[in-house]
Amino acid sequence: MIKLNRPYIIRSITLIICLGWSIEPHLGHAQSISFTDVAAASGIDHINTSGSAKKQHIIETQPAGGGFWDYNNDGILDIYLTNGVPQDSTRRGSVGTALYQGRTDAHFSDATSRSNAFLTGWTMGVTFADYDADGDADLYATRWGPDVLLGNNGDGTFSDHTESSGLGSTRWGIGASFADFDLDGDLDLYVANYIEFTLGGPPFYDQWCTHNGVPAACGPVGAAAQADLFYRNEGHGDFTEISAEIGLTGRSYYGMGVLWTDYDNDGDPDLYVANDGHPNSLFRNDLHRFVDVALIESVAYSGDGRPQAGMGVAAGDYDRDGRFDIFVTNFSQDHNTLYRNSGQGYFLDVSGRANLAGTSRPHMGWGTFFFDVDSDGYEDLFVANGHLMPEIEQAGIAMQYRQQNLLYRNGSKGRFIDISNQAGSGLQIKEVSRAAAYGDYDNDGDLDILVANIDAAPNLLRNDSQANGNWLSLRLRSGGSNREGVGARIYLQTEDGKQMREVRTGTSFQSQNDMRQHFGLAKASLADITVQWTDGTEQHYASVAANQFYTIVKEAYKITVE
Amino acid sequence: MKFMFVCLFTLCVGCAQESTLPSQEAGPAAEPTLVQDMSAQPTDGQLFEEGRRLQARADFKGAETRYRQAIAVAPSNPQYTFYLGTVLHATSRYGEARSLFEEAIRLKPDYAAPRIALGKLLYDVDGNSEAASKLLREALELAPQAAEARYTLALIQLREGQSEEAIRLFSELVEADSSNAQARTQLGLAYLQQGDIETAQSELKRATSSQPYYSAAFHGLGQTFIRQGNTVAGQRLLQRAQQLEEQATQLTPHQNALRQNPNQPEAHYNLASMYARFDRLRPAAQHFSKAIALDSTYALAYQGLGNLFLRLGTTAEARANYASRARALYLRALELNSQLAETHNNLGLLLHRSGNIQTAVQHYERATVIDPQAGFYQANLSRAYLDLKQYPEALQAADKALQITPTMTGARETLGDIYAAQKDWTNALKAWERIDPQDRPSELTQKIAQARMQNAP
Repeated sequence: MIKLNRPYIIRSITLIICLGWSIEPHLGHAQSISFTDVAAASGIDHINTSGSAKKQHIIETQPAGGGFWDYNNDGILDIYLTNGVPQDSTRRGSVGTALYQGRTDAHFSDATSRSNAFLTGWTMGVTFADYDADGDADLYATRWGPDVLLGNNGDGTFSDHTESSGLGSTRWGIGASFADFDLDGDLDLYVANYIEFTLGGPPFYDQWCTHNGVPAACGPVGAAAQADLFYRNEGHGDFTEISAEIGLTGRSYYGMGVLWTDYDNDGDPDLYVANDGHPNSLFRNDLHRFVDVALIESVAYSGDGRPQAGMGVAAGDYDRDGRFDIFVTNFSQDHNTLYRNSGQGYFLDVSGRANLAGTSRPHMGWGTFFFDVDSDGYEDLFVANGHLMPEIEQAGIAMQYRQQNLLYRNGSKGRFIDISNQAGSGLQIKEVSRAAAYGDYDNDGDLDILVANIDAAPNLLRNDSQANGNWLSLRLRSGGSNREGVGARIYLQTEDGKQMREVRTGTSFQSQNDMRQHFGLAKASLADITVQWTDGTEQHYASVAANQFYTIVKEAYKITVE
Repeated sequence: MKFMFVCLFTLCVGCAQESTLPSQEAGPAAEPTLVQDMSAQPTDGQLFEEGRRLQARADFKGAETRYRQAIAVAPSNPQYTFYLGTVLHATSRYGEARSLFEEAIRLKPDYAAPRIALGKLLYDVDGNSEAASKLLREALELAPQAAEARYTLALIQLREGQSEEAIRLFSELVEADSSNAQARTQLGLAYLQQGDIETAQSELKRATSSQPYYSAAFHGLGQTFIRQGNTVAGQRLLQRAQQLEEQATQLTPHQNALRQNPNQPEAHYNLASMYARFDRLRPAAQHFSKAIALDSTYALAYQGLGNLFLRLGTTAEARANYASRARALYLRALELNSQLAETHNNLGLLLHRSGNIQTAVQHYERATVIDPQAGFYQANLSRAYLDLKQYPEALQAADKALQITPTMTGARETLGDIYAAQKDWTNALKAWERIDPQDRPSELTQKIAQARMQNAP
């Protein structure tokens, strides 16, 4: 590995112009993609229990969150899973949340009790970040009831930092994500909130509503939206809620998935929020103030001008044109929406053209992410599915409560190919899925999948694909307050073209992906890497060898094999 | 003179007891039907026609019964089978509906209607765009003029990214019916997807002209301006689209309720009230009128219609004419129900404006008795007493208005006016100056300046 030159500051747009971007379509290939569910075999025995089996209340339909993180800094991914509360004595399942510590043998040990990371009550989603810059990842959990911040003590245990940090909103939180919004070096927090809701009380009391002619939990329509919240990190382990101050003064929607991404390549993180049943929001970061430009950028509605029921959200440069595109999962009988970033100040709904519309209509989509499943250098797409209503199968329609998840391979000319039925037994599972995250939990160089399910065990889908391409994985480290390089952009170039990634927390739906950045290299054995840190510093590493895990330490300007 | 005009647009969800109409359950049975009138055994054709009549009135239960009776007599009739399917579809019994549509096609292979219905069901409910498209294409071969099939197929093509095919189909629809704003909007959006901004803009402009409340058209039109670099115009249109979208969200439950209960005056009244709230006076007037047509004793509907008339008229003469009609409607409403506080208040306003202040006071007083927590009524009463120079009564009413709603600018201004009328400049200034400078009309600013001069030592 060679350091190319001294760090220097350059606007990303210049970089893009200088390097040029490959716009050649990717040609599909016939590699075998296969996933196997190894959750139970790996020691994960958590069983989600979300209220009653009948799902009379909307709260019972959502609390299945979780994600990958490395809380003990051992280089092996750990798993955190959220949970609901059993509403009748016949329910069998786990009580509270669970933390599983990854081991070197690709198995997990239940670390919930000994870590003190156990939460009871209705816990929805999670996001992980080293908010206090003490060298280890902390955990923020969104909940129906006060949200919780668990500070990592660095010895395998956690302490409740909610009160001391100034967090703990009592709104019904769903999505949450850390990013350095104001580029002051530390990590701020955005929390998307859902609705005003009381079990057995207003606005729905214990009434049933109907959907497609069968009983359904009432809501969210009919309930007041709870406003999202933005917290500024004050740099001393505490946060200040400054939503109004930074421009979050518009109408509140039913907030769900949250995504920080620098969609306009101007060097600061912007924010996309998937809203249920309402227009989605895209907050452009204008000198550290939010301006909702979703309508202008054409990402509020579907291409035919309808608000959809946004659930999960992901960003990726699937067409490798140097701009992040946005994908939003929606309700069944509607399509998931892929907004292609035109780079001209607006997005285009290309769901149909990308073969993501018709294939998604029978499914209710939730967790989602772009990832390079076969390491061919092009980002593929995963969607977790599952309906809200157990009774839906009595409606006489081709809709199931437990649904198959969807795996799309990035094919040629901007089209995705639904390979779910050919992707091994792990993709044939039908559950009521919600959160979904990717991560290389067994450190074998390909990306595995974690799916959290309502009233069931999670799925840990091991990637058993054959003949994958070459790859490399990068972990960023910085000595400042943003130790994990959240928001940093990584560009990778091979002879096949250029790719980019962004270090993010808490995307998808109620979940978080592996923070290491996995790149597929296809047949390339070497790659040039550029890291653009959030302070504008750029570092270049040439001829980095494939098939290795690396750590890049900003201050040392050094890339090392793990 | 400032009045506080009150339009509460009370939704009548809980006031069905005011109506003497039969409930929805009893509704269809209350009117004699063809079948009940028939002494002889009805034929399958008569049963079918009766079913159609009931279905048109959204009496799905009754229609289902008649269709099933008709099918019992003529089990191989594809039309009866199809219509039974439509009723089941409308009542969310999709499995049975699907079977009936399939059966209707089997009985009459060249029958387009069940293909369209099945295609829509497969797309809207099952999410199966491929099978739906196949059926809709078949239907169009059998019935090339079937607009519903063409529109649904075009929409599917648009959503599936087949914008050229979508453009062809939407174009055919607007050629056949140039007033089809929905198809024209989607045509514009299809051009937008193709990047043909100018044609998209032209189509979307035409769509917004012919249907000024269709948010998707404004949304698309806004996009065209933005993509042309005219961000200001684009944003204005996008804001309009958002407003319309929010209106649609609020209107939808009432429109659905009306669809389920087309002969229920409350359903018309509630929808009319929502339209009125959004300044969509024509449909508001239509539904208030329909509510009155269905129940001539429906006092709230007279009040609602009266409120609309109060908002009409661009010339003094026209306004006077509308005011006269509003007054008649308010009087009729109060004849039917003397406990309508809002009607008393608004009638008081009309009388007050026309100089009949004593009678106006009576109505304002009545409104405050019926609804003592409405600060607006007290404020109007205060203003009327001021005009009558009955200052103690005026002060008392203004105080009450401000006790109820301390932030009511109009009441505070009236309070100042009362003091000013008595040359008590100190208290007048005190009252006026408590109004946020941003909320002060220029007239009030002038009054404050004059009072300061008067009050100067």
